[in-house]
Amino acid sequence: MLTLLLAGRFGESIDPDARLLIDAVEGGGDITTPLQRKKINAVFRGLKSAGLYDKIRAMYLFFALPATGTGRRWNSVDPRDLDAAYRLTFVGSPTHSSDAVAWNGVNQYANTHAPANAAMEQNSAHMAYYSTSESVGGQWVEMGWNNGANSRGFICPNWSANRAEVGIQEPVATKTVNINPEGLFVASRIDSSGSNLSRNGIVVQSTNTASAAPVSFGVFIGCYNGLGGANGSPARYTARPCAFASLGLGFTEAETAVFNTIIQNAMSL
Amino acid sequence: MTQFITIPESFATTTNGKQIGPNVFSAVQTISGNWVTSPNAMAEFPDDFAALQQTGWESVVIGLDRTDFPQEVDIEL
Repeated sequence: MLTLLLAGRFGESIDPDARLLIDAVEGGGDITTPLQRKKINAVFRGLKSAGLYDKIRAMYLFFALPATGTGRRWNSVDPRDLDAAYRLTFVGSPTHSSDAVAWNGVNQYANTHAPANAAMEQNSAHMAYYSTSESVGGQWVEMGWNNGANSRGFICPNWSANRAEVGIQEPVATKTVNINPEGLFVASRIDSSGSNLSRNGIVVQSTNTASAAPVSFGVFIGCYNGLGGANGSPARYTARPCAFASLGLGFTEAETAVFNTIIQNAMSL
Repeated sequence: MTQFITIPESFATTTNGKQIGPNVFSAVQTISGNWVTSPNAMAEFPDDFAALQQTGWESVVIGLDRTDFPQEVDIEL
């Protein structure tokens, strides 16, 4: 009977780590819908099947979680209610819609509590951000950190009319041509020689900047951490909503394409 | 244009940084000197706003652009 009840609730085969996330969300007082559970399960099963799961150190499934701060605080791969588990803190009361978190571009962001020198490695790192808007503001950074001296990582596909900022685990940001800021962006580095920025699974910008030793700045979502080079100070808020974000070890170009397919397929369920 | 609510300076400065669960209160000052915060804050910090309402404060929603706020002064990326 218990098996039948669980099968009816979660479908035929819920991934055990997806189950941990769902239990954490619901234990915190939020309710997941059958469709949300289906999307969560699809992400976990897809990442594990592709061999990418172990590269994820933090993942925030806003598109598949209840539209509240309490329901979306969880690091999906470590859903303990602790900052040390890279649980989110939402600053400034952003708006939680059914499929994304909308920032106002003025004072709203999320702190992952994930240090750039612990959640990622100098020569193996990724950050991902799904933007649901192609609106162009001015000098908006989707996520990252910047100590102002020798350690930076950005997702910033459209800094201004003719400029983007690219790079992860680099001493400087590389200035490139701006691109449409809607879609799933992945900044990734897999060695010391350079990094890529991908949009919807395709590399759109590259750098050949050598890596730099990362610092302990936590990664912020909705802006970057490091106004004036100060740890804990948000800067360059974006107003492009976030449906998904993650960070961890680096993806190859082929892995980035697979990762994009997994996330976008789950979003479209 | 984004919606904000105006709040008294004393409330803004004393409540800034307060955390309940995963939510941290944040108010910001406009160029014209008004303190504002997100309308969503009223649901996330109900006791604080209930106390504020007892002082006679009423919620007024206003629309502001980013240009209504001071420009960030930051190092070049």
